Amino acid sequence: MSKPKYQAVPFRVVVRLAAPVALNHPWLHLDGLVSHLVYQRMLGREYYNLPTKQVVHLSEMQKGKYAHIFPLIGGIAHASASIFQPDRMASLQYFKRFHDQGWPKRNKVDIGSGHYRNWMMRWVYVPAETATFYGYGRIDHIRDLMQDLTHLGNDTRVGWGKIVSIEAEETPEDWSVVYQGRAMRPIPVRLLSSHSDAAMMACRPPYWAAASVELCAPPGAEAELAG
Amino acid sequence: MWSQTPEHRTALAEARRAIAGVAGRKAYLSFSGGKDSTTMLHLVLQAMPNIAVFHWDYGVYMPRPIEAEVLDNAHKLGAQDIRAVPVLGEADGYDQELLHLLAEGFDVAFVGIRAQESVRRRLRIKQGRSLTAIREVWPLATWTWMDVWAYITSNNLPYLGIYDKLNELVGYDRARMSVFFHPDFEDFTGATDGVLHWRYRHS
Repeated sequence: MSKPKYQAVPFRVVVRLAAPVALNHPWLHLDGLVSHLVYQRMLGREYYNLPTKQVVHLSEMQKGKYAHIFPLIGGIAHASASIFQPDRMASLQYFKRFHDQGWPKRNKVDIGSGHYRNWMMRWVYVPAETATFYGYGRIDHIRDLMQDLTHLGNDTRVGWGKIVSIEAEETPEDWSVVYQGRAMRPIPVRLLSSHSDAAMMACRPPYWAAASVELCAPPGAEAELAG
Repeated sequence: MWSQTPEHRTALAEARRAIAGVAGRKAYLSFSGGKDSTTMLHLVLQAMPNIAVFHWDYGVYMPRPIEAEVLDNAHKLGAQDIRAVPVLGEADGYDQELLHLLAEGFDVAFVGIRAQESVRRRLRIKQGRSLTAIREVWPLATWTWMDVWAYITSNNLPYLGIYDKLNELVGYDRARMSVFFHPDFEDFTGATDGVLHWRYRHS
């Protein structure tokens, strides 16, 4: 039997950024990112017609050649959480309010709804130059899918997380799950023989779904895989 | 130190005058556990040591360690009659509690809102509009965030540890305590909760 042309290899994905990444969670997850790209690739514009708060699973047949990008370990993918460089956070507040721009010529103005509604939004962002992910799997598919990725994180429509370039390269070792005794991604405690911290968090795509949540060692915690 | 400035002394005098103005009435104090209600509780207790302190307990939207810290701070400040009222589980939890308060004869409520916090609060204070049938008194109405923190630090008051975490991200001027991941409070907290308090997202 001939050796397959491509097989699972450890790799690193370095995303160079042109704009800070807006977040509503401390980490992005490589398997979540790839899952988004696979659904987008396979469903096309139909992807944006999916119900927003309901999990829709594509079958292996529907995912086609992208069905097995990452080997799984206890149901979680060999894919790390994001490592931002530099790794610090800041926040920004946006306001819309009319009281300092002049009111319309009427006595009562509703500031709770309608055109004159006061509005405030706070964004947390990471002013990172690069975001690095580690994985173990089909690097050829990763390179292929990453061509579709233009932004990282939240609120990309207003420019947050604009990507300059993405490089995926093979690495000598697999750092995707545990590296030097530290969790590189949320790892369910059922897969660990020891851990220094644990919290209820999502550990598989879709990361927003309640069904993806279980007790996990968070990224950065000391962790040792069982067996 | 801001606490030594004439502006702060004026704000402090106004607050004490507002508190003295309800002498002889049956008052209670609304205590969220945040910096403003902590300051207000300390001020009010000096004039009314036995005042009833009401605290809304938002259950799953307030992680238990932080809820415990809130109640512990109220005890440390010297409150003796602390009533933690669960507000979730009943659609009309607030209304039910209001009826109890009216039945007990309360006719004044101390509420720690400030005009600087939002346009809506500034207008509410300007119009003297109470949210319920019980008249509200706002001792900190004219206070700024600097007045509040100056009072807390100069009197060495206990405050919630989450303020120090929030400060790293937004600064003490914008640090606000709210319930976590509650849809009604999204405007105040938004992404900040998800990043700073991710641990409580599914608790």
